[in-house]
Amino acid sequence: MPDIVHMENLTRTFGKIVAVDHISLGVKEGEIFGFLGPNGAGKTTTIRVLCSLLKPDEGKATIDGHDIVKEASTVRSVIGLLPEPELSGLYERMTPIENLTFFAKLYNMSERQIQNRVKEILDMMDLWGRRNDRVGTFSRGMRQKLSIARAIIHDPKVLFMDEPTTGLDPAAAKSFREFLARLCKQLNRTVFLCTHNLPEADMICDRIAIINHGQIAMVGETSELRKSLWKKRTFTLTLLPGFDKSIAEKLSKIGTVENLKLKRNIIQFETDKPDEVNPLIVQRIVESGGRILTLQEEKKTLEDIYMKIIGQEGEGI
Amino acid sequence: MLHRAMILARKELRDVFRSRMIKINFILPAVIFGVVFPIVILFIGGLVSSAPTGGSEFPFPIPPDFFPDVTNPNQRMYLVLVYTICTIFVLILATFLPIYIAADSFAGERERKTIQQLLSSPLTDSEILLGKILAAFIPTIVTTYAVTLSITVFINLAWLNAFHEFRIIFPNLVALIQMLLLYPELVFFTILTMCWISTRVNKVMEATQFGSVVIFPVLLLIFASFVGLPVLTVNFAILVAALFALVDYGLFKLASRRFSREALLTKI
Repeated sequence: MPDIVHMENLTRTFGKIVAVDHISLGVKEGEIFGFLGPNGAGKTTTIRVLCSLLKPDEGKATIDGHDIVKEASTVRSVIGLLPEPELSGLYERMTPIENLTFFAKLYNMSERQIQNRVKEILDMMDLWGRRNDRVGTFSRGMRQKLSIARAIIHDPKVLFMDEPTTGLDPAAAKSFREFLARLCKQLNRTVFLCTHNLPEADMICDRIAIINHGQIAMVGETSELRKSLWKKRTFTLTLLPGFDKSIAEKLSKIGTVENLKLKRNIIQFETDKPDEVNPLIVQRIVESGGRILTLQEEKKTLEDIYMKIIGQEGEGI
Repeated sequence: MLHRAMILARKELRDVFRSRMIKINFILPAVIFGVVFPIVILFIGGLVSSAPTGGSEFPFPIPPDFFPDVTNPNQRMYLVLVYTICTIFVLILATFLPIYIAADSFAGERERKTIQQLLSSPLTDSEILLGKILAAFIPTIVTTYAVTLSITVFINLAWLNAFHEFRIIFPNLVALIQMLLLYPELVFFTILTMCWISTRVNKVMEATQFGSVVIFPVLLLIFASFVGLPVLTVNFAILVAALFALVDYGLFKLASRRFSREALLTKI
């Protein structure tokens, strides 16, 4: 299946600053693709180039098979853009209906289609009751919901979203994530998601790319990234009190066990062959009279992956 | 292209006319020029009709073919006053009315952070530019013609009132040429200039401050009348209209060529 978003050596500079540095990436149809990176890494520039708002200096990209430079207007008609919350892009003196109708008309939707779609989306976003109020009177969360509604009004094939759940309350954020999942899995739409909300990205993204200094530092499914970044997996054993403490030394000598630590009744260790090692460890403990309460793997989160790749650079405020 | 440009223009009109500032900027001059000024004309008519001497002492020459059949000096004075003042005032109105809307066109979108969303729509560069121009052009030209109509009625009423003679003295051919050609051309000139300025600044206020340059052509016309150029003649009116058509065409070509989505997002 060809990529619906495809980039080859995409480069964009501003004077001497290389904002996007020879990026090559592909996003499949129906995928939620997370695009992560610290501030100033090149995320927004990449999105602007892909949305045909900025021209690349080098390389090329296509959206749904359309060249972003040669077929800019077509590209803009198949994408939806939800900009970062502070650039909500809503006309504040106009009502939600007027905002949505204006954009819908630009996508050549018929009056009937527009009426139905506006009603459907405002209902979905829980904004129908405020349909005739000026957007300027809306709370931050309501504006964000309306921005989302505006981005999807024409049912775009590819949605570019920058921090979509910022400003949404937890319940709204959850239902939005569910909506995104439905959009991609049932309607085969594609989402290109920029976010600093790593747990959220971990939850909903099929694949992620981490960009730093304009270059792709890593790309893949989070499980693949974990494997490539950490060869060894970390496990924690919790024992019931009263076990023989000398067991720790014996366990550390088993096969590929490394960095074994004992703290009160908790044993932590690393291994690259858990299938072989873990049964042995359990067996030794039981043989020595110890009783195991839990054995669990310490999962590396997307935040761990991100911090390992980006390091301390992104920490400055 | 026109269809989508009109969608944008309609959105612009709905949006900008909800701004109190723009409403005041539009309604106040329209009321002053369309209502207060005609009442002043009525008053002038009364004053001129009872003046003791004729109107041959104007600081600028009156062309011989300007109402040659009107020989009464008071009537001539009224005609010259009315035509000179009306021409200048309506031209000033046509120049100033669209300034704020056109200044708001791009700088306003930037200021309110809506520009990226507009540019990411399928609208082409030409459609965006045309939509913005139409949004300022339509209300300005409608208001200018409404004010001109009001002035026309009052001028003719004032003539009837002052000289007890029913005669359509306004507009003559020169005024018609100005109405049909020069007014729209001047409005277009102002809008293009202001839109161009608006693409290059961040705030609407900055754009309006730079916008005072648009009064330059009107000042030139006033200056021309005072140095003795025959501004009230048909030939001069056609010449000026042709000149403005050329300038507008050149400006539009330049604006279309220089219009850049990228610059709107990245510069400043």
